[in-house]
Amino acid sequence: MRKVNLLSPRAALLSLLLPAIWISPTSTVLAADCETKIGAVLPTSVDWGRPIAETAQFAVDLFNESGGVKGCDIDMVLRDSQVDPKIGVDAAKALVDLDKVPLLLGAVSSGVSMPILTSVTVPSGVMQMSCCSSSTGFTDVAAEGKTNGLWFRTFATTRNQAAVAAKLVQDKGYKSVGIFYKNDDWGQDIGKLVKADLEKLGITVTTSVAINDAQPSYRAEVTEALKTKPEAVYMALYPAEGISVTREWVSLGGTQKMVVANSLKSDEYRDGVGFQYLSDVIGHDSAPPRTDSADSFTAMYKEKFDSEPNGPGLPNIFDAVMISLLAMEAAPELTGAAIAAQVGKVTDPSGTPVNADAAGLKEARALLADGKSLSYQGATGAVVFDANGDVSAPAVAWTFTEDGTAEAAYYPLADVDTFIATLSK
Amino acid sequence: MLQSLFDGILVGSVLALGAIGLTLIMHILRFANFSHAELLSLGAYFALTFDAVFGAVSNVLVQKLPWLSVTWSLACAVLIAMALTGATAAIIDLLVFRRLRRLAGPLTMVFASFGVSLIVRNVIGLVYGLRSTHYNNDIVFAMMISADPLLLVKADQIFIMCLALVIMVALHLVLTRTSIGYTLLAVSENPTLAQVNGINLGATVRLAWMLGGGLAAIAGFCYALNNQLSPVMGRDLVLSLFAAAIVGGIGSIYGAVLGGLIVGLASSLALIIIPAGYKPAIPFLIILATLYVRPNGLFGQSR
Amino acid sequence: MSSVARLDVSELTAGYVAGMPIISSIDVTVGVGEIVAVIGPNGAGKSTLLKAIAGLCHIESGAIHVDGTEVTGIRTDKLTRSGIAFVPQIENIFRSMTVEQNLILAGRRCDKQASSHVEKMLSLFPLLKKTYKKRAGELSGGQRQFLALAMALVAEPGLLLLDEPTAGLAPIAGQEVLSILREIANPGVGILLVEQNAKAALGLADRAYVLADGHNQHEGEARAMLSDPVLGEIYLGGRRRGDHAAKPV
Repeated sequence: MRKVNLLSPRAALLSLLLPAIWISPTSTVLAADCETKIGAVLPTSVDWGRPIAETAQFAVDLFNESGGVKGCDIDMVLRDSQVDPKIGVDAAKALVDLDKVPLLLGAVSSGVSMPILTSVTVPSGVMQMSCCSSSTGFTDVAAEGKTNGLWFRTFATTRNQAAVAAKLVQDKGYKSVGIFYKNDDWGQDIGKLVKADLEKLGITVTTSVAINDAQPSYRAEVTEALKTKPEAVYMALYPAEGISVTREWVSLGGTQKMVVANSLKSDEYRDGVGFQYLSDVIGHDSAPPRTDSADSFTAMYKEKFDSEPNGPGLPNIFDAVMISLLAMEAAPELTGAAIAAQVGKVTDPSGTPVNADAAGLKEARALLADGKSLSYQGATGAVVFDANGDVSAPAVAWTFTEDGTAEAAYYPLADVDTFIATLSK
Repeated sequence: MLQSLFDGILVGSVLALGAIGLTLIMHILRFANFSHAELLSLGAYFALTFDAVFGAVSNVLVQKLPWLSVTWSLACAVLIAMALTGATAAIIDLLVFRRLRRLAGPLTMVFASFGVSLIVRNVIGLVYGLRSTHYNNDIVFAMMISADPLLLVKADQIFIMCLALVIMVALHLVLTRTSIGYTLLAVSENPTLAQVNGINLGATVRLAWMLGGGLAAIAGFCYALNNQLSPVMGRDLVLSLFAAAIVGGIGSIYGAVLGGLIVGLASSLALIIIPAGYKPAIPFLIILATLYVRPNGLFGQSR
Repeated sequence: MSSVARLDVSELTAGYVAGMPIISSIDVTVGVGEIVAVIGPNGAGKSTLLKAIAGLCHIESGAIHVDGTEVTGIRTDKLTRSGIAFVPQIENIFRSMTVEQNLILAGRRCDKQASSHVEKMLSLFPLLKKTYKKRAGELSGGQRQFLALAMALVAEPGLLLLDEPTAGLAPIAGQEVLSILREIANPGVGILLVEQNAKAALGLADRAYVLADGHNQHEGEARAMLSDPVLGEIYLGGRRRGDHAAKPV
């Protein structure tokens, strides 16, 4: 969840200044007189977390209007995580123990989702679906069989981005690469993955240098990398230290052939370094799918909120809610394991495609009643989970221009998946 | 190795300039002033502002100094920045620390200094924005002095080293040859005895703040010239400055110079041995090692 | 001039923290060219008295006159620039500075040409000539005490306040320090001397005060006190009698 982390210092400050804003789980139409509770743990007290919670409630309302789950309205009990693992775990515990929810949506940050998964949902047999956690740590936990198939996320993992980074290096024809990575969970994760992927592609990684926060000077780090004389560099950094490292690197005569992560796709970085030094830079980023279902989500969102769904994780939380509720509808009983078992049935690539609007949901109910499987077409396209509960995503390559960034290439989901498959061999 | 030595001395000389003011104030006023590092930011930004002002006033001043990326207007701006930063330091003392010295204990002063540093940092962010900037947006390319062993040097960096050296020598002469120097040394060693010898304590404290502030402005300018200006540059430097002051021994100006060089060299050379991810621990390790072997620092005197 | 005392302390109550006086209602006078000793047990408030006169204490009540001018509550640096010199018991020199720098710094507080005064001090204390360029921290105890005296005298004060100048010195060095005081007093300098070594102090002084528990206990001619049997018992090295022994404050 890159963008979220970028904002966090300011967001944290805001959360101190503003009282926590409580979003009341009002359902506009109460179609049924019975209610089924589900839980959500989201950072509603920070400015980028609120739209995520609002979008979740929007999806729940849509689903209720189309008839709810098994004829009952869904009541989403929302609790604030404050982007704090301890508070998040407490909130999840309360939802599972007191509200007896079989399904938990959340959290946003990997650091909050992980302790909830391992200490709350898995031990209690509750299904958990996150909109936004990107750490590859979840993949490892799931692969070890420790999630009991209860974990899903609708956000493409760092793995996905790392593969695209390696692809860009390969496409550019660079033979040797030095890596600068931010010394935090995300940076270590992607740095390690990119290094492994490049080596698998036969590209030499001359060095892999950790860059810490808030250092007075990065000269020593840059010098270390410079000594290894790479043909190009890969940078998984944030703008603050990215500017310092890049300027130091260029001034010491380092190559201006650079591949950079989505975190540097910002005006701050471009202006800070100077556009004239960034003409040979190519970056990678995940991209919204270019499908009708994604466009229809944008249209629905605009109608409801009167703005573009530009915040981080909005399409992802929408799909997380819809897929979870469809699985509940399909499940013979409302337990975590039973619901989780049906997620595959509603996101089956060979199933009947259904859209996430009123008509589509109606159709979905009918198909499920007949025991048929669906292929859910949502805000992030045709969602397909792998055995570890991970999804893939389309990607874009981008370059800097005089006044912003421009797309250099679009890699549809199929291309990304094929490439990752070749890397995994 | 050669490159790391050069870089270490460069970073060290900038740290030394900042640490001199810190050690003076810590010694004279007996409290750890965490807001000192913000004076570096303040000085750097004052220089940025007056560079723009002078640049707009005269075309001649926009010319660069020979070899360097520093313009005449920036050079003049640094002088103004020194005076203004010194004055600001004295005013902060007048408004905050002087009152607390009378009414509260040293711990309160330390907390107050944290508060002051937050205020200064945020005011800078408010006025200049949170993004990092540069005196000159063009990247100055380094000259390769030698390929093996690798040695890359920028003219600006030689300038910074020379400037730091000149200032330290000048400071040494002032302290050892002039009565102002004697006054400062006397007050920093023993304020009571200094008063007994007819020294006006309040005036000397003000002088120390102004001197510390002026040196901080130069250090901030040098740092920003070699790296970048950012509202958080003080925060990034504060630990290294304290390490330099503590290693040298609180109150010792020559200790602060040596401490700055030790911290700069250690941070630079350590990367040859340890992975870059552990670099932030180095100032802490130096502080710990020094306090373990010599609790009063290399040049410090026990009280 | 001679009709006015160098120092006239009356009803002085002072301490280090407001509301917690260490000495109370102390009266002390020092005449022109007079050496006055203040003796008493540890914690009697002798040092506090000197510091109060030098402007380094919180004064609750009372008045201090120097040469007939009231100086109560005046800042230390102003006092010491106008004819008062104070030699603290410990840390009375700047250890990090050379002997020369110490003397120049001390001489700066009078308006007159400092170098000629420094010359005068070097002739008065020839010992300091040899160590002129040495760091003061490297001097021996006796040399330090002479330097401290020289620093006090270089500004030609009318009143000299000395806090235990022989403390921590070898007996011979202590004698040397005390013997020079008469020389200093002769031209008219008033000296107020606090001493632990009461016998030596009374042997040198013209008059003396005995302090205990922060109060004036006794006042008189120094010679007379030396021969007073009771005082001798208590303060001058005789055996202490339980009832009369002063408690530390």
